[in-house]
Amino acid sequence: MPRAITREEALLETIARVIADETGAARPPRIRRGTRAGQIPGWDSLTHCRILAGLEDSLRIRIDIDRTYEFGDVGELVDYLSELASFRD
Amino acid sequence: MNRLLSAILQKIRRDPDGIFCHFLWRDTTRALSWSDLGAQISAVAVACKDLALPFGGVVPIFLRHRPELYSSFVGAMFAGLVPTFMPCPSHKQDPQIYWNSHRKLLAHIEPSAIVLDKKTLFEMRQSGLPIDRYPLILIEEIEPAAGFLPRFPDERAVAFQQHSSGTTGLKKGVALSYRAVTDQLDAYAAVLHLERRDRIVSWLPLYHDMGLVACFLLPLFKGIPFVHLDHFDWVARPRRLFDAIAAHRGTLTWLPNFAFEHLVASVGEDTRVDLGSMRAFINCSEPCRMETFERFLNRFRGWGVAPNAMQCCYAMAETVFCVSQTRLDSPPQCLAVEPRSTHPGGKLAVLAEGYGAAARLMNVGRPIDGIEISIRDDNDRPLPEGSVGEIALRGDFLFAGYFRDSSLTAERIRNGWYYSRDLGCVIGGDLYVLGRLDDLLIVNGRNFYAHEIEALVDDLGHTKPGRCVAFTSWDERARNNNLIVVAETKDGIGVDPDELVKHVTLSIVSTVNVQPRDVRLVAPGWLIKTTSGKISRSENSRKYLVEREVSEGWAHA
Repeated sequence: MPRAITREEALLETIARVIADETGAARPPRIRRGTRAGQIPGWDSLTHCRILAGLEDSLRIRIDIDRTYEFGDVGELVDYLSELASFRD
Repeated sequence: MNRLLSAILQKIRRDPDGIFCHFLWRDTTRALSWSDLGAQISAVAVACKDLALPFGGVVPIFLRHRPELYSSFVGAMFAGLVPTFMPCPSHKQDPQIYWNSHRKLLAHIEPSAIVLDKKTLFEMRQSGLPIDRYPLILIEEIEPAAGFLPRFPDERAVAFQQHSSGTTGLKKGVALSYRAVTDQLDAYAAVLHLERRDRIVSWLPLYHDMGLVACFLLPLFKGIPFVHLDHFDWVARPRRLFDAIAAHRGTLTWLPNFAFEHLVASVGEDTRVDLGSMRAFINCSEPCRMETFERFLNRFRGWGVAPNAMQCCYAMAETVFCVSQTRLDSPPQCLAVEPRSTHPGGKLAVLAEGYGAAARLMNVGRPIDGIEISIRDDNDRPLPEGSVGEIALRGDFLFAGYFRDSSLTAERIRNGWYYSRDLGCVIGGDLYVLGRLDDLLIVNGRNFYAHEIEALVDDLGHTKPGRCVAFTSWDERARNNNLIVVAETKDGIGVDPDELVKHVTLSIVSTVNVQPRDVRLVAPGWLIKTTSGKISRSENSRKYLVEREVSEGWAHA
């Protein structure tokens, strides 16, 4: 029986999809918790803002504007989004 | 008579309840009246007076987005001082590295006093910057003052300084007289047909000439309200510019080319607002692109943006601001030219629109009254119309020179003409700007000198001295210039390459606030030298792009 997808995996999938949308990539990039913006083609500071806005729309959450540049890597973003999503739940 | 300060004082006295600024911060708007401004100006001017600061002393202002930005600047002028706005670090920058890099700049300026807030003071002290050797004006501790006796410096006196972008150690102070400023504001207001009903909406920071002159001093001098958003807010939530335009029936805004692209890419259809009040979206401060205008119009025409509202301006701090401006009642125009004819000294070959290999050059308008443009060759000789050469300028609002840099002043101002280092061409009286003659890099509307970024990497001491090159590459996907840094590594230094890349990236971001798209470490001998032994930016840029294309090709294969 296939294993159920965890919340973290679901978030990583959503993030990868939004990154692809905002960077214009043909398919979602492979990302892990340790992935940093500089490792993904097209993920610059302006695209970063658009990725966060895309995540807000996809997850129906509101990201604190002061946290915009605080995420050192995808893992920190996942933790923050999990926190917001559980608060919303 | 000092027309700038007289006009401000008159508004404070005659229209105390009128609004001079709608100050936006996050989701809140605060209407600031002329009497609010007057009270805050008095407080700042009295604080300056209490410190017995010398007339004409330079006062850097290090403030983030807050209402006291305006009063600290104007208050310093009313105290007979010369204010200059300075940027604070962004969220991405390490405050310790950022503030520490200000040692050389402050030593060069020798400020009479510094205006700042408590947070900035704490960060500066933590970084080890010797800030306490200067008189400090803490914005939170300024006491209200009932009245003050304003000083009205002579019109020939320096009103303020604007500092160029770039690494802090090498920022150049452009000193501008009151007369130059008011002459520019009058001439620019005339070409914009500025009226009382106009509303200027801006997210631009005031340490940028476009933000300071077009979006703050122009409305202040002409008594027109302006709407001011925080630039960090805008980058994260670009649609706020449109919300502000709709809420305040904005008529004019100035944006660098990348901002048009950011709006196209970010603002969703579900947030549609009415932009029909806008007379002009003025593209300025980095190369204007017709393709960008086309995308912006396609995207927002249904929101009320008219083709005639798409405008271009060519500007620089050395002329206070505007050199040329397109006609506000005409749609944007461009010329299709043969790309090989755009080199200095060449005659621009105009092609029919739609010709496949043509480069499209934006018309950036005619010079405004009071400024004269001449296209010059390498020997300072004027070139005939249609020739490509350096843009030289002279006129009523030319700056007096670079602050405490007589050699650079002499290098740039020759026989009454200011040599801009920009390449351009005049056809039918209209100006076309082709690029830079030297190593200026433009990223996100901000200017950086390649040699400054290279020196910064060199100073870190982990790469081969003098074996580093910085350049930009156009990113079609992001529709923006990316900063690329390539550096040769030293043999056997025992530093983890990934850590070194992170360290170089953080140092660049923290010092100049631009995120390199790529920091590439290469083996010794990789970089190409010119015949004179210099590292060639153009050759190495080409080599880098070819290698990147090959590696991306492999990655996608």
